[in-house]
Amino acid sequence: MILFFQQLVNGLMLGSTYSLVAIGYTLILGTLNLLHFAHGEVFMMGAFFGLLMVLFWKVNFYVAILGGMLGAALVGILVEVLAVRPIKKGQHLAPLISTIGVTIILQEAAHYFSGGEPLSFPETVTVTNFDLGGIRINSVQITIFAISVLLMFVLHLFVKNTKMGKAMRATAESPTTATLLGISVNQVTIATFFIASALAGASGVLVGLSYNAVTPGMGVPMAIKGFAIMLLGGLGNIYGAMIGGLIVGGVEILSVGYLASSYRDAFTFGLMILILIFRPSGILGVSLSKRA
Amino acid sequence: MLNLDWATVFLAMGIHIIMALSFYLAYSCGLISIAQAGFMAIGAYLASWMPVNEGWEFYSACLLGGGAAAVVGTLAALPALRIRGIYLLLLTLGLNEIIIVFFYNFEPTGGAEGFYGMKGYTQNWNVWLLVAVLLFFFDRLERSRVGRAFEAVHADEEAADLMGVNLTTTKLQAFALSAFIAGIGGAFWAHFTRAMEPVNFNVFVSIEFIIFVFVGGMRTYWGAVAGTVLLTLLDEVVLRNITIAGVELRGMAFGAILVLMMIFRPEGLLNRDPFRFLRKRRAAA
Repeated sequence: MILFFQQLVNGLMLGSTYSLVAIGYTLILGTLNLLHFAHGEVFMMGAFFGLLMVLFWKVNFYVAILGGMLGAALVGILVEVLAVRPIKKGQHLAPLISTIGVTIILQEAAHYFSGGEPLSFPETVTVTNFDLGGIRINSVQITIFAISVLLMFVLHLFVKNTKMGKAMRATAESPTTATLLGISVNQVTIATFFIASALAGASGVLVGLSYNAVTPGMGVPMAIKGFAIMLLGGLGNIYGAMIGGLIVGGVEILSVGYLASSYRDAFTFGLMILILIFRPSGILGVSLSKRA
Repeated sequence: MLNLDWATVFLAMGIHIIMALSFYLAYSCGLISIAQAGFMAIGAYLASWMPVNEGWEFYSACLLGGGAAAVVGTLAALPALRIRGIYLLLLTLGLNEIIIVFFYNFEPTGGAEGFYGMKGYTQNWNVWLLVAVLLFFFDRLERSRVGRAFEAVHADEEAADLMGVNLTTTKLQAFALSAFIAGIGGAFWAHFTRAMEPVNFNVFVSIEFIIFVFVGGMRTYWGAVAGTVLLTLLDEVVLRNITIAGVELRGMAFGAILVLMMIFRPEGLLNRDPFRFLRKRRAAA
């Protein structure tokens, strides 16, 4: 039983970083009706930005997270301005295909600059282990979980209470009506990409720290987990994405603990397919009729 | 001119055309599949296993590989009947990865080590013969009842349904045919490279085939051919020979081409009637 809870705790810690990425997917899809294929690569770029700051400027971990967030946000906005915005309106598939192109570009660029070798964080956070009735938690895990939850809470306040948050919700409801009411869809788009990418960047630094490895290939598995979580939580539902991330993280670590670890990734894809077959509207589903 | 093995270049090009056509077939029915590399893997592994270990003859092994891919494709299509657009894209993405994870863990075909020992039955003549047969097939298909049903479903599912097109059979046919072609393409590919690992069939391989179709033109099978020929030549003649600090620019160039195409010509290079300029202007129907 101790093992079960130990795995569960590990899974929830990891799952909180998944949530951050999945929130980005669901924000962009919900607000702009775009499946942002390159979001996993934005996550990866965030990890690289955080790592570079630690390596070259010897900043502490929290500054690195902030740097990763800003760097990723910059990449996200560039993606929007250069690869999504110029596409003619009314082409529903073209923006998606365009972000697939961006995925390839960012991955190759990361390969080019990193030389393809996994890089790792130098020891910046002193690791202390806590023992809670046999369950071991270290300070890195606690930091990761706390920062993830904090960011999600800030997002919640932002979306609920600020003017821009309201504008984003209105645009998600109906872009046409939002425009008629004087909301600048351009500003909302930029804000959405900024927030989504910053969260992915934070997640990138956190995941880079927890595995102590940053590689150009780390974006793809995360992207696929993000898709699965977004589907699980219901498209466009940020609270669904938060909970979905914890579920996927928990079940993934449990499946590694009790089943073969080589099937770890198959689990996520299997979950994604099962959701698509049986409950395409997700666990906290929104109506599908809004988006075909 | 360039020191290139043209025979190999054309062979790879032919196989790429087969794969691009396999994606086009499903897309012509409105189904976006990025599981083509996964179907390719099924065909490749089966069509290599049978000749190497069971002494099968190459062409029957090809048909078996294609058939197995078609069966998996049909099974995958059953849930896919209810969903479309990005949901279908994500479902096929998951399917592709599951197929790869299966081959990673399946010891009889070497797991992550890969599978070797194919004899190299794939030659330019049989690849290009298959391409010619496929082009003839696509030409006939476009004018057939099934092909027109694909077209109708692509244009508007509800309208097609009202017009009496059976959505279930039409989509299953499209998915099965597409997977069958991809499986055969995989079989030819395996006997061309003579060695394969599961990683050769990941999602980005599927995406490469999609790039061929989307650049060439997604509403005609000639687009798949044109895109593949153009990009393969560009790749082999230009991109592979330009390196910056020892790194090939191939991926970045492909990504940039895709983005630029979506911005400036989202329907692809060729449109529905690419040879119109050869004919007299047709009367508007």
